[in-house]
Amino acid sequence: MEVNGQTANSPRRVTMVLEGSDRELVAACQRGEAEAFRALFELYKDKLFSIAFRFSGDRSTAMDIAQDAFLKLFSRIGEFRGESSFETWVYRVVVNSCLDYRRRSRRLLPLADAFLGRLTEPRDCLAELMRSEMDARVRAAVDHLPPDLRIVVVLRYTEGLSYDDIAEVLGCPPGTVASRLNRAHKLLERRLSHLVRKGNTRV
Amino acid sequence: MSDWLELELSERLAPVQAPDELWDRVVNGAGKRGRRLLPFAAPIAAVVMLILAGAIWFMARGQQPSAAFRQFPTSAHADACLLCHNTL
Repeated sequence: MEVNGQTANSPRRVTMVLEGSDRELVAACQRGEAEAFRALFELYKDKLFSIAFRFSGDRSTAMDIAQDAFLKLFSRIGEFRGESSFETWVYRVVVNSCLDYRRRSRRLLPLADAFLGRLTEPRDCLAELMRSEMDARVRAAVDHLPPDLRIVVVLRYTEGLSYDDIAEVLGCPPGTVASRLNRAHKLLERRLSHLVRKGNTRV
Repeated sequence: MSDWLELELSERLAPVQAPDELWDRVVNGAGKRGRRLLPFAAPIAAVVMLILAGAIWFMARGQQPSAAFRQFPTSAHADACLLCHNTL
């Protein structure tokens, strides 16, 4: 197959795909071009993994979620009709993977999972522990948010999406996003305020 | 919302880099899904099987003597009582 005078296996072609807009890349994926899938993966891997990691709070779970999201992305890319931006569509796929994971894990053994996580926690030196203390507490507080609030927090602070963008990803009105963020902030403030009061400085 | 919370969330929830092995996982389909549950699922399944087997064995064991006892006078020694009690 030839595109712009280049054969399918030429290096020029890969460069063209990588430099192309989302639309070209998606079209190439829809035609089943392997390089396009790889380029798409490179473009979105950090975004997808970050959302999965910040949502789940665990690296291996994030790998599972990101893997699942990419498999869905690749297998359903033919269904993308361009009604929303491709990025929004990608966000929707990973958000659904996160929430699916949450629904599955609720039926399994969350306590055993937490116990295993505690057992496998790395034993850091004191300085490292001090530095990561606040990190761990903020993450734990976020982990304890209900999934519908947590995903809004992750999209807002990990990806820096606007209320309108989050609303588009979640398929709800921006007012709902604002109210969920407000509830999440109140819960987080209540859970973390003692850390600020204690030292009156951030760790 | 407090400024400190906004700052904490922005810092602590910052984006991270995806591990290099993610592509292999996506392409080759090798995953850890279910592995974390497996150490618990296998012993739980084994215990459930043992309990079921024990219950079945106990019920079967409990039924055998009573069935044999019920059949005792009528089958094996149906006319044994007549040896002493001629009028039965």
